[in-house]
Amino acid sequence: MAVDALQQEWDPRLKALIGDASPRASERLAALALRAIDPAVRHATTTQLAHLTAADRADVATMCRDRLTALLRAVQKGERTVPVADLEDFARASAEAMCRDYLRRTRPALAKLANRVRLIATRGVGIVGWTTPKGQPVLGLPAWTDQLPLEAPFPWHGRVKDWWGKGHAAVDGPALTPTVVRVLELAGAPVPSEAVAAVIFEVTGSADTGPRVDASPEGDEPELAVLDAGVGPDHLAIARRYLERAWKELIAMPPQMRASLLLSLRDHHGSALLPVFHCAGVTPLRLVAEALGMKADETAAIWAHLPWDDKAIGRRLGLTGLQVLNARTVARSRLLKHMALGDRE
Amino acid sequence: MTAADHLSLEQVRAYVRGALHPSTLVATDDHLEACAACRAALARESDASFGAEAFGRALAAPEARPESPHASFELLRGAVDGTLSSIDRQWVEAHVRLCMMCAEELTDLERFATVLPVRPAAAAPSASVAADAGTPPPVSSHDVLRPARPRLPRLDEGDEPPARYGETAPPTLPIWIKLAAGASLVAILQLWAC
Repeated sequence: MAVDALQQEWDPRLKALIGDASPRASERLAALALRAIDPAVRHATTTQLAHLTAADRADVATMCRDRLTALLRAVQKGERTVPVADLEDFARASAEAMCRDYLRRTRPALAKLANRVRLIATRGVGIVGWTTPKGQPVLGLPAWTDQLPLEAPFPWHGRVKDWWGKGHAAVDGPALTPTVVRVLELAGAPVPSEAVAAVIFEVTGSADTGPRVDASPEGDEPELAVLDAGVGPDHLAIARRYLERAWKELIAMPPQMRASLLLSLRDHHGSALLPVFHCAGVTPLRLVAEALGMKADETAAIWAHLPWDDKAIGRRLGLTGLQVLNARTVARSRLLKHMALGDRE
Repeated sequence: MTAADHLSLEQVRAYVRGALHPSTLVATDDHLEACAACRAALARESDASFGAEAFGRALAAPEARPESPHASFELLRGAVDGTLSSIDRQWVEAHVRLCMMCAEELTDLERFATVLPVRPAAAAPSASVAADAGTPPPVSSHDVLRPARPRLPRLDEGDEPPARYGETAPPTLPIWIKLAAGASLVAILQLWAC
């Protein structure tokens, strides 16, 4: 198997930053932020948060820029091990995801309504939902699926009460379906699902309940499990016990979760970490192969080509790249928690 | 290779560096499994503490991911409909245990789903219609978050004309009431004729 097909490379501009602490590197980082991050953030906040005030959009843009710039700094310090292949793509996708999460967090009632509206379109009640080539979920009547969706400013902008008239509207329950139908009939064209939810929200005079706490597993990982074996006389025994415990936890995981983590494990230089287990004498190669659902010969053949990127792992496991990423996230989180619990016992 | 034929230092070092040819890697590994002396040599050459610390750091390092760490609508919908693959189900289950936002949205969708017909929409006429309306892939019964709810009748099914969305269909009487009413009417007419 070709090495190129298995390993994602760093964007050359980021690769040049790794481990470079010189003042010139800081200048390059600032220039990168300006060229790659700023346009992506501006585009995401303009398209996704068009209905917010300029001040709110500016706040979100600052948050996006800060997070992405922090990522560049982490890359520079060698603290990110999974390569970013294209900085512009990464910044655009990150900024869009941050905008969506911002809306979900700050407007929970509207976010729930948007979900309900999209669920209706999956139930064969005369409304269909689809995703545009730009990745925007839209709703419409079945005959409209070849039409372009409406874009902001929408026909009801600034005159929602007049536009809606006297019809009944509801944000929940069985009456939500006819409400969505009426929005679409009045609009006369496909409408982005977020906009459908927003206009129903406005028509019904609904108010949101205030921001929610963003509690994602990403920020909830205990650090107790990170080994510091020190340099004492028994540091090798401590390290070996740590790896034995980790291996035992890995073996207990569902196979796809385990393989998603093990095949991608790498240190901050990008070198595979899976060989750590057999080099430390924790487990023979045959059992490593078994844990990966492979034959020993097959594992030996891929050994020099590890770590794999998510697409390669996905091809092997029959998963998408995002499923691999999610499986690895759960695997890491679970392993860290179990190891931390073990430390406390 | 037998236990008596010990590995050379170069072979041990090549094993640690991952520089052995795949054809010799498995045999070398088998030998190490059987030979305590070579395992001791391996322990001297490979610094387990370095590997363990690197492993721990890699595990704890947050990943740079452009995707939202939260559950998308498609995943929440799949959880509600019981159509998630095993790997997605594991992820959603783990995520909603930790994320109040996604847990609340999932609960809300589950509640709302009970007022909707269950059957997913038939494929829309255009090929561009994607995930929202598409029929979910079939999954085995052990592969779902919960058993799919029994299919409810569609609004446009049956003998009666379909109600418009949200309109209440006119009430229909059971057949035995209609028969009884008919029989009563015939009896009244017969009495009247007499």
